[in-house]
Order: sequence, then structure tokens, then C-alpha cells
Amino acid sequence: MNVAQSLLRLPESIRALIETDPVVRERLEDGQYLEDILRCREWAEAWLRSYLDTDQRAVLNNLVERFASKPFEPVNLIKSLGRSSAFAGSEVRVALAKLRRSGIIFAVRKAWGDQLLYLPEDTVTLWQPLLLPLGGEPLAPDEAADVTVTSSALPLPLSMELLSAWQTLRRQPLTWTGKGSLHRPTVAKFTGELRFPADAIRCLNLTYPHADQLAPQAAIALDIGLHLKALMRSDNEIKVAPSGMENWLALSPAEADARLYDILLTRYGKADAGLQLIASAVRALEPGVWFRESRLVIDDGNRNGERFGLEWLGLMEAFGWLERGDCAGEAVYRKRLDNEPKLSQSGEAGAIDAFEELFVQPDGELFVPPDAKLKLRWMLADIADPVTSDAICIYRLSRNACARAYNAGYVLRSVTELLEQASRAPLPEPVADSLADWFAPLGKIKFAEAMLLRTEDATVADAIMRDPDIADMLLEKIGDRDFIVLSESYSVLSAKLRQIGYPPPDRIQVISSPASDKNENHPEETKSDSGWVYAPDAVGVYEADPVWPDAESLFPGLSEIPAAWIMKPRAYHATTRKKMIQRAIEWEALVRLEVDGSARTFVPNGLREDGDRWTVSGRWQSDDCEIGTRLDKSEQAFVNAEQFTDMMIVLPSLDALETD
Amino acid sequence: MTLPKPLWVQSDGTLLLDERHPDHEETRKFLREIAELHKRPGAWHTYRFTPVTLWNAAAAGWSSERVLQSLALCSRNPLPKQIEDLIRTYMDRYGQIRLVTGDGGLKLIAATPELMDRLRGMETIGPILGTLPETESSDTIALVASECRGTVKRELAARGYPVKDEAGFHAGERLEIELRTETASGGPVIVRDYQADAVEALLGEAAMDGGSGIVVLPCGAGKTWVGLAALARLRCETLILTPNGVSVSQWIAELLKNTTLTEADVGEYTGRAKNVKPVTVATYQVLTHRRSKEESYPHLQLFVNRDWGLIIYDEVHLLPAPVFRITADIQATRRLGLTATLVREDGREGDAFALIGPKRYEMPWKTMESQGWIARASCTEVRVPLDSRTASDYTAAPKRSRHRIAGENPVKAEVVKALLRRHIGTPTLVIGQYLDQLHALSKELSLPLITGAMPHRSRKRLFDRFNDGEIDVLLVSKVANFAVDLPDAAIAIQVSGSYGSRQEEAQRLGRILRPKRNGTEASFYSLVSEGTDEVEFSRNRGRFLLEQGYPYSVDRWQGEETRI
Repeated sequence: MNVAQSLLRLPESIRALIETDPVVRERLEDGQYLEDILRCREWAEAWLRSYLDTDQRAVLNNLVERFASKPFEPVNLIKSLGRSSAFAGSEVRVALAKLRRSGIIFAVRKAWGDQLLYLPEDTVTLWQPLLLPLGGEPLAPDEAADVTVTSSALPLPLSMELLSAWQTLRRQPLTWTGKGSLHRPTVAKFTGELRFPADAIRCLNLTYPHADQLAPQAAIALDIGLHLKALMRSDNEIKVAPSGMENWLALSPAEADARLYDILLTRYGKADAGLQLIASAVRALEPGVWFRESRLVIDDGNRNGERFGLEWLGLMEAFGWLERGDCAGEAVYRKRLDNEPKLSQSGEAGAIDAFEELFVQPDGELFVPPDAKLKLRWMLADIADPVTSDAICIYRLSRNACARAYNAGYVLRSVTELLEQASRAPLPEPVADSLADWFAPLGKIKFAEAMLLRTEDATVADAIMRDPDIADMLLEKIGDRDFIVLSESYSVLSAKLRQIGYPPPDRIQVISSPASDKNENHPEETKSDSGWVYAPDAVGVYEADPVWPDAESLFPGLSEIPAAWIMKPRAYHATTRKKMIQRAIEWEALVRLEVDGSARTFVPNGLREDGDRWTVSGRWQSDDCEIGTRLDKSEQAFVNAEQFTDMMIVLPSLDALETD
Repeated sequence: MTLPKPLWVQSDGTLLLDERHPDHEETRKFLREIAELHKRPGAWHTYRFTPVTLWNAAAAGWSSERVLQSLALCSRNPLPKQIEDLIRTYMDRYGQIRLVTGDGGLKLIAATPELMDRLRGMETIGPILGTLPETESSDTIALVASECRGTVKRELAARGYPVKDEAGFHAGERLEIELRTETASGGPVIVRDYQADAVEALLGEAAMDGGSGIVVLPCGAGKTWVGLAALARLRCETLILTPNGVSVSQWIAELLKNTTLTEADVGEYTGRAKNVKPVTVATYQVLTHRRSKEESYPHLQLFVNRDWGLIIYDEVHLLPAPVFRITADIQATRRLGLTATLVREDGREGDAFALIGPKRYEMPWKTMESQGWIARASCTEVRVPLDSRTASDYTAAPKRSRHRIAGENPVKAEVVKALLRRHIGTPTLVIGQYLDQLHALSKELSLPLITGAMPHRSRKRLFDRFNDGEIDVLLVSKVANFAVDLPDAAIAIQVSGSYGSRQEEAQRLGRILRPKRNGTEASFYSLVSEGTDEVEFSRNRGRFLLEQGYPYSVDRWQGEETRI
């Protein structure tokens, strides 16, 4: 789930709280929208500066590293931090509440009450470079000059592969029977257009229905199509969704591939935080520049970093987004994909490379350069035969392709206009002549549904023709006893025939006008579709958590204890000290103990009793105010009741959680 | 703003060159060295790499690295890895296997022992490779029997390994011959620069394997002259092979007219005459003639009847398989292939490379046109409606008969008349596929007709009269498709053609491409019956011309008033 979707579901009271966060508030006052603020790098940098040495910053660091945008239960983060650092659970819980308050993480609640927290999927690419930047500088120019490319092929970008596959669904939607058998020839055609290997996407761990009949490539192509609403599910079929596809086709291939990258990163990458962080890190790299593969490890020592890096590079290579090479025996890579392409509407790209979207050769071949819009390619598939999908895609006009184009609603003029507009030139004469020849016989004959008025014999036919009103409604006489009549005139004509003594029987079947199909709305298109691939941990299925944590909910029973317990260290009786320790363990809170004349902070995690004697186990926390020192896990320690007299329970500051 | 580069390199080995680009000419020159022009129908020209084009480039002195660097400089997209591999693999193999003459006969030398092991492991090659005597033992050298010289080259080329043949040639029987300075009628005998360059490229001693190869020149560029000049330079007995009898006559006429050879020196070896003389001109047909399928080809003996120093293969792209086989056995003889295209309909370009030799020289059609060596030509397709009777015959006929009915459309006679009236006085060829149609036209227009059934002498007489300007119009069947020299023909009217042979259309156009004395443009008309399958077949044939840079315009015949 992304920021916009999260905010949309957010209770107004919590939204209002976020808006009072100082870093957010000053931007709102500048006229920015909350949705934009919470995705903007400048806000993220300002927030980090404002909360430089706070628990919430350290906790954010950890949750980004461990979960990225994968939803998590607070207890899991507490446990994980407890294992690796000296952070107390209470500190983590309060830090998480503060991160919610800052609009950095959001919460949903499962039906049975458990809370799930998550970082919106579109902010992983915001926080990862700031908190867990990728190590490794690009190769120096003299090193880059020595790189030998080792990628064995230059596959077409994913956007092209998907387009070709989706085109097969336009001609033949993918259907399945009630028993779940997919229509094999359609699956074969669909899958045949996807040339990237299944191995390349194995790292995404896709699980999906009909896995026995559907290759992973086909599953992801269907899933992306449904997710983008370029495809839609309707009863037992998946077909092209006209308006959704129209939106997708408005993109240039570069824009489309950048979008696809983000979908992979957010939709499939979140299943594994390590993979998602690597994907985010690679996203930030400059295209066309060589980097060392060995440095593709997130700084914070991700144990699986190297594997994730290699898997993600393999995936990108298969999708035509990346080239690999060798530099003095070291594996290197460079992106071919620009994750921030210039918008096609700006016209900038055209200015740099003034090239027609299409070039029409006099022999009827159409050359389509790489930056041609997807829409043009989609339309060309209707009117021409594909020849080559390569750096330049080549199509060929043919008699058969013209017949196909005619069936798709094109006529000579529209094909000519399409080609001339895209090529910015009149058609070469031989092409214009060929198209004229090929379109000439099309449409001269067609099957039509018409309403036929049948009479028993020529005498009856002559009789009804003699009535001038009826004669006006008879469009055409066929043979000596039948007429084609206007279907709209059915009622009037029936009445008239009854008047003159030839009552027709009631009509049983109503003929639908083919024209009405064309204007058919597609209500299915507006339905949301969860896609084809099962998305684990989808927070979208749960309600946004409407509850804001107050002090009592964070520390149950807080109001029942003497206020002095949490105010300052004092000497207490051993029984009271034991109660305090027990309460602190319950709250996962820290305690301040005066041991050997000096006050030290302890994170208690267990109490062992032996008759009247008791011992508390836990860890000493450094009293250094540096957050970093608390991230280092200390040794398990044991403190006897006799070792201290003065103590207090230390709760994290709840100030920032309070509301006006 | 940086101007994009002129070339796109596709991963299937296709190269797309933008003719409008300022660097186009320079890039085109480079591509000609490493790839073959596949087509040039409009502003984008298509070239292709093949193993043979890459070997030709290597034979011409290019290294793979230099090719890759030059390619990267003019390519708009990064070079696909497959292309880099293709170029390296094939080009680097050139020169790794050499054939040389040594003390004990022919020796095949591999660059490395591993390569020699690979060669010995090949099923058809291993048994041919003998071992050196123990005293000279080497793991990179194998002995090859001299009669296996062609076989080893052909088999290795078929497996992607070119052999650089440095075994040299034998000189053949010496023959006193020179080019005349002027013809008997007083005209000057001049070898054009490009023809001399082609001979130099073939026989120059720059490379040790020089002496054999193929010269690619368009129809009308005077390929015969390259043959004559090579013959005069080598001064040896020569066998000339051509596709048909008319061409034999024309070669003999040119030899006698332009060289110091006399009739006593020049023999014709065809179906009608079997004279083997110091220079013998034969047809492929007679060489591959045999009485039954079981019998061997008796006339192939011609290759070894005399001590030929040179064999010239005219229209080498038509070379039949049995001639390829015998050619494998005479690799010590210099060979010159002449053709307008390296593309063979049977795909045996590799055999031509291995057995005739690498491409030594090429000048494309349009370049010759721009330099005035061949005439400019305009091509027009004239759509001719069927009369109502023919139209109903056409509709009722089975599919296999329709092409002929459309081809023989009687209304085409009216169009031919109109065109002849329009070009009255200009030497014109009317070319057709169907003899009935040609006979009918001949009768109706009172014009002479040449068909395959006409004796060669009579054909030659008519061609001579046409060339001498005594007759303006000749009707010809497909016998005139190849190797017929009618330099003054300026108009060609094709009344019917075969289904879709691209080669035929190009050859017919080639008949009228000789530069005209008055500099006039040549015109090629193709008459096509409107509304019939002929339109589509014609489109397929015409596509080849379009690809060569000759656009077609289409006109529709609407009676006498039509302006074509």
C-alpha cells in the first residue's frame, strides 16, 4: 500500500495528528499537500535532521532494514531489536507510535485485533538511500573503457514483451472452464510472446492459481496487466480492458519500463525486504554507468545482500534493463533502464533525437525506433504483420494484415492517416497503391442482420405493397414475396398490417443492433482486481487502525501505580522493588538502579525467586546518550535484590504523542 | 543538439542505414566491406552480415576488432553481444586454416593443435587429412591430396571454417593474347577504370591467395570486359562458362572484336557445336547434360581436356551443383566468377566462396548509375483491365490456370501498341512469358520474335540487326533474361512474367541499363491485369527492384487516351 492509499483510509483524527508534526506542519503551511509531503525527499531529510538522535530514528533504521515495506507486528520488531541491541520494548513501542505520528509508518488492525504496521511501499525508495545507502563508487572512466560486455543477449525490454503478450489477449481472451482448465492454445500463444526465462523471476517467489498450467512468466504478465487495469477479469476470462489499456499505451517504452520497475519493486519485492532494498538501491543508480557487482550489498551488512544483488541483477538483465560485463576479472554491471525518464509529453526527448515515430519504407516495411509510443506499436499490430522485434521493430503491410485491420475497424483512410501522422510524411507511392489495392475489395460484401418480412406468396406481397404507408417502410424487395424492413418500424408496421387484414404473429426474437456493442460500457473495468499472483501480507484487506495509543494503552495500569515510581529514584522496600521490577518487565520498560553508589540503567527481562531472595536478569544499558551505543547488544547480566536500594521505572517520553 | 548516428545494428545481424544522414556515404563504404546489401527500397538501406561477408572482409584485410570499433562508431545503439560474437567468431577464423604447397604436396596448416584436433574430429574432414612423415611430425599440419583441395575447402566452409588457399595456381598453357587498341570498325577498345580495378583486385599479388574470386557488377556494367581484361593479363588458355547459347555467341563475338584472338583460337562448346580450342566458351547446360540419371556427366571432361590457366564463370549465381562439384577438383586453376548478385536462390553462397573464391570487387547498381556507367531507368506498372469475356474466364478458371489467363490478357496488346507508338524509333524489347501470347503479338504487330525454339544463328542475326539499328522492336521470350547484350535497348515492355521470380524482374531491367549514346533514360513497363492475382505477383517481383532503389509508379490503362 502506498502513501496516498494509506492516507485515504486514515481516520481523520490521526491525519490531524500527523499534520501537527512540526516537520510536516511547516510544509503544509507552505501550501504543499500531505500526500506529496510524505513522499518527498526534502521532507525525509528534514525529519532525519530534526530527530537525529532519537529512538524513533534508530527504530526506523531497523525496520527499514528488516522489513522494508513488508507489514510487521510490533512484537516482531521488538524481539528482533531485543536480540541484537539494548533497546527496551517500551522504547520501541513508543518510537513506533511516534513514527506513526510523523506519518512515516501506518497501522492496520486485523479482524481479531492484532496490529500490523507498515512503511508505505512507495517510501522504500525514499528511506533506503538515506538510511542504508549502497556502498561502492562507479568505475573510473579508464576502468570503464576496459569493460567487456558479457551479457549474452540483449533482450527486449519488459514493456515490449508484455505488449506482445497482451496483444494476443486482444485477439483471444484467456479463458478457463468451470473446473479450472485454462484454454491451452491461448496460454501457449500468450506465453510464447514472453521470452525472458522463468529462472529470472524465481527470486520473486510467485505463488498463483493454475501454477500447473501456467508458466511464471505468464502469471506475472497477467498479474501486472490486471494490477495496471490494462487487463480485466470477467466471468471465466481475462481480456484487454479498453480504457485501462488506453492509459498504459499513452506511455513511451522508457516511461512504461520505469513504471514496471516500480511495480516489481513494490508489488513483488516486498515479499523479501533484502530484495526490495537492493531493488531500491539499484533504482537510484545512474543509468549507463558501470558499477562493481561485489559492492551491491546494503551497507548495514545484510547477510543475504550478495545473493539478493545477484538475483536482482539477473532479473533486470532478463528484462532488458541491465548489461553485465567484466572489468579485469571483476563482475560489473550498468543499467540500461532510466528510472526517471523524461516525460514524453514534454517533447524534450524529441528535441534531442529528432526522429519520426515510424518510418514507412516503399516496400511496405515499417521501421519503429525504440522510443516510439506503446500506443503506436499496439495499433501497428492491428494493421501490419510483425517481422522483427529488435532495437528497431519491423512490421510489414500485407493483404492479410489489411483484412485484419478492416475487421478491427480500420479503413484505408484511417490506416493511411495513422501511418502518415506517425511518419510525419506522405506515404510512399508504392505503399499507397498497395494499400488501395488491398483495401479495395474489403467491405464490398458483408454479412448483415436485417429484419425480413416474409409473405406467403407473391399475391400477398403485392397486396401489402399497394398500401402507401406500408410501402414506405419496405426497404428492399427480395424475390417476389419477401422484403427487408426497418427493424425500428416493427411496431408501426405490425399495426398497419393488422389494419389491412394481415396480422403478423408476435415477434419472438429481438435482433440487437451491432452498433450498440461498440458503445458498450465496461463496468467490469472499474472493479478493483487483486491481480493473478497471491500477494502475501496485503495490508489492503485490513481496516486502518483507528486507535491512537495513549499512555495507558502503551503501559497498561500506569494510572494505578504511585506516580513516584516513574518520577525519580528512591529507596524502596524489597517487596516494592520486586513489584516495580515485575511491572517494568510487563511493560518491557527500563529501570534505573543505584548500584555501588552510582545510578545505572537496566533492561530487565526476567525475575528468578528463591524463597525471599530474588534476582533480576537483563542487560545493562549504556548511559551514553548516543543512540548508537544502545544498538550494540550487551551481555546478559544478573542483579540481586540486595545489590541496590534506590530505583525507578524509566518510561520513554510520551510528550510527542500527546495531542492538543 | 547531437546528431544521432546513421546506423542501427539489430541482433539478428541486420544493419539499417539511414541514407539521409550526412555520414551515410562513408558508412555505406564501410558496410560494403563487411556485409551485403540486402535491399534499399527507400531512405533506409538494409545490409546483412553472413559468414561469407565476414570472411570476405577478413580476406580484404579487416580484423574483427577494427570492424567492431568502426561499427560502434557509426551505430546508434550499443552493439548487441550476439553481433560482437558473430563478428569475432567468423572473422577470427579466417587465416587460422591455410592450404600451402610443400615438398610432399598440399599441406593444411591449423593455427593451433586444438584446432587441428577439431578438424581431424570432423566426420567428413578427418579421413582426408593425412599425417606427415614421422621425421616432420607436427600437431598443426596435415597432408591433403591435391585432388581433395576443393573438397576440404568446401566442407570446412560449410562448417563455418574458411580455408585461406595459399597453395597457388598453375599457369596453364600459355596463349598469346592482347586487347586490341581499336576494333575492326575503328572504335576504341577501352577498359573502364572500375573494370581494371576489378581485375587488379582479382589478380593483384597483395594476398597470397589472390588469383581467384568473384567480381560483382550490375547488369549492363560490362562484366564481360572484366573477363577479357583478366584473360589478356594472364595470357593463358581459358574456359568460359555461361548460362545460355546466346551468351556464348556474344562472348565469342566480344573476344574476336576486342582481342587479338582469331576464330582459330576460340571455340564454342554447346549443344550444337563441340569445339575445344585455347579459349572455349560453353554453357552450363551442356556441361550438366547426360542421357540418364544413372550416367555421369560426360561433358564435365571439358574441365580437364586442356591445360586451362583460367576458368570464367559468367552469372556465377546460376552455377549448377554438378559444376560446383567438378570445380572442387580443379582448385589449382585460377577462377573468376562474374555476377550481379551474390545471393543464390539455393542459398549456396558458402560453396561459391569456398570453390570460386572470395568477393574481390563490387560496385553497386545505384553507384554505377550516379557515375553514368549505366543508364537511369524509370519503372512503371501499367494496370490493364480484363475484357468481360476474359474476366469471366478468369473467375471460372481453377486457381492454377488463372495466372496464365491474366498474363495473356488480350487488352495488353492495345497497351503494347500505345507504348510502341509513344517510343517510336527507340530500341524496344517486348518480353513475355507465354509463347502463344508472344506469337499473337508478333503476328498482330508484324514484329520479329525470338524464342528458345529459334536456332541460335537466327537469334544472333536478329540481335545483330537490333544492335545495328535495322529493327527497333524485338519480341523476346525468357531466353533473353540473361547474358544477352543489347546495348541500345532503352525500352522494355514486360507483357507477362513468371509468378514471383525477383531475379527475373531484375535481369529484364538489366537488359536496358547500358548507358545510351544520347544519354536518354531507360523505361521499364510491366503490364499487369487489374483485379487478378497478377497484381500481387507483380508486386512481389517489383519489390526486388524497389529494394535495389528503383521505385515503381503505377498507372491504370483506360483506353487509348491514357497518359502513361
